[in-house]
Amino acid sequence: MKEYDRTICFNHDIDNLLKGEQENIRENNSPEYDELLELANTLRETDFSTESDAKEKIWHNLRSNHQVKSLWFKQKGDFTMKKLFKQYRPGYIMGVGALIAVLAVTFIFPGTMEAVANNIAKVFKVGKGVTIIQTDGESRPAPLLSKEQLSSEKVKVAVEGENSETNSDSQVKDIIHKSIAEAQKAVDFKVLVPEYLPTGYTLKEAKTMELVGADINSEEAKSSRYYLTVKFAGQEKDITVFYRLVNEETAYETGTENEIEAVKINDTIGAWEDSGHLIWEQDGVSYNMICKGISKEEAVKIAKSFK
Amino acid sequence: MEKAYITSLHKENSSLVKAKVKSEDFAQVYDDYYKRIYNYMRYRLGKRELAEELTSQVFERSFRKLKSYNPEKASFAAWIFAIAHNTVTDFYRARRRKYWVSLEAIWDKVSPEPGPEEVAVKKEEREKILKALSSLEEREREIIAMKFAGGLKNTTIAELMGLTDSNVGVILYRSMKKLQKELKGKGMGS
Repeated sequence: MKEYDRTICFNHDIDNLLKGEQENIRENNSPEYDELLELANTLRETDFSTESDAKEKIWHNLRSNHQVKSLWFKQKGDFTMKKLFKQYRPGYIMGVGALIAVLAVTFIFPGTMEAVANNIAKVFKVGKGVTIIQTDGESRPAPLLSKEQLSSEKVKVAVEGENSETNSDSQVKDIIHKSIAEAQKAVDFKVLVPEYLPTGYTLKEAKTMELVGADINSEEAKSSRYYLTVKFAGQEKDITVFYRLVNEETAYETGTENEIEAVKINDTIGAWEDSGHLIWEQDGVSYNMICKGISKEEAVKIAKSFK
Repeated sequence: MEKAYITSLHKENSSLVKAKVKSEDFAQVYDDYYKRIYNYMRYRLGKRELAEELTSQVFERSFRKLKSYNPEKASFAAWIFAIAHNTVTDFYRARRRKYWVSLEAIWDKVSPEPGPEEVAVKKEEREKILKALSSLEEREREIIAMKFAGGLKNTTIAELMGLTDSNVGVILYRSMKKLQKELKGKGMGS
């Protein structure tokens, strides 16, 4: 039998196997062919779903979410809910929930998860790559995941250099560069740095990521060149700047209950949040600067000096 | 009912085939699809915690999008597996953005595995299958997951993955041969 014919027969037999119509499977096959059918049967019978009590847990969580949703429909009406969930896709909600832990660690806008279920006070669009939703935080229903569930102690953060938890062929690896010139080679945008920094601050490190094992021409590998993190160390807390090449892949939304203020940075408008966080966009690159303990004026001065 | 057989090899619940699914029917949807979606995730992602988490996301998405399901356009199986496929794609994308944080701690009180010898053997067998699957390319793994965990027909898989039916058939056949070879190397299989 030719290979192509064998392929057709095999697919036909597998369909019969999955339908439970074993009597329709061809007989008198080669031993190799029978081995493949045996493997297909093993796969058919392999059931991982009995290995944990996740079915009950997931259903319980779903029901909780349903209740929150119902509450919202009563309080705010169908339109608001649809609008919110259009902006925050369900998958994104989970991602945002996860993101909260990162926010807690890095002091980026707190309250993202709550933003989903809160009243929108303002929507800031910073350039093309970032949308910040400020909410008033009043009379909100329970978040989709409880605060206990979201507490940073309980949530395991994917820390720098740690391998991802999947069995994917490629693994994310952090690359630490000693100089900006070196980091420049690892990203697809021009790396600008501040000409002004508060007294005593110097470059600590520049970090990019590499996908080990990924095809160099794959989209996955290319997208690893869209991000850069630069840290400056000084007497106070580090100043950290997250760079992203702005495109569809890197665009994101975030939320906060804190007051957001529009600030002018050269020719663009950035967003400042009082806990020490400034976001702006310049020449197709989004900058996200965490600068705890530094005043708004000082932060804007740093941002304006990026050359 | 007939439509479901075009896209799935499983006997679909008739209420999910003929009409739009109502929110109150979702318990039935969950019951009918949990095993298939969970196994699909396990095949694709390997890790149990991730499979649980993404399974949860699939049902959340499905529930919220329920109103958009149109039985005239696709079977419910095709619709929900499209959501499952997108959930995994989004997961990898999020991981690329380095904003991925595991919420496995939420479920850190996972029940211990039962101890009987038979279960232990089964577990070992499953682990070997997962290991062997991880040696396949992403596309090969996805097709096997859709086929054996999802019970989907090649036409549906082709539609979800942007391939032709015959492409799916050829990839499936070759992937199974690769898997068989890999399992033999691990001392499993004939």
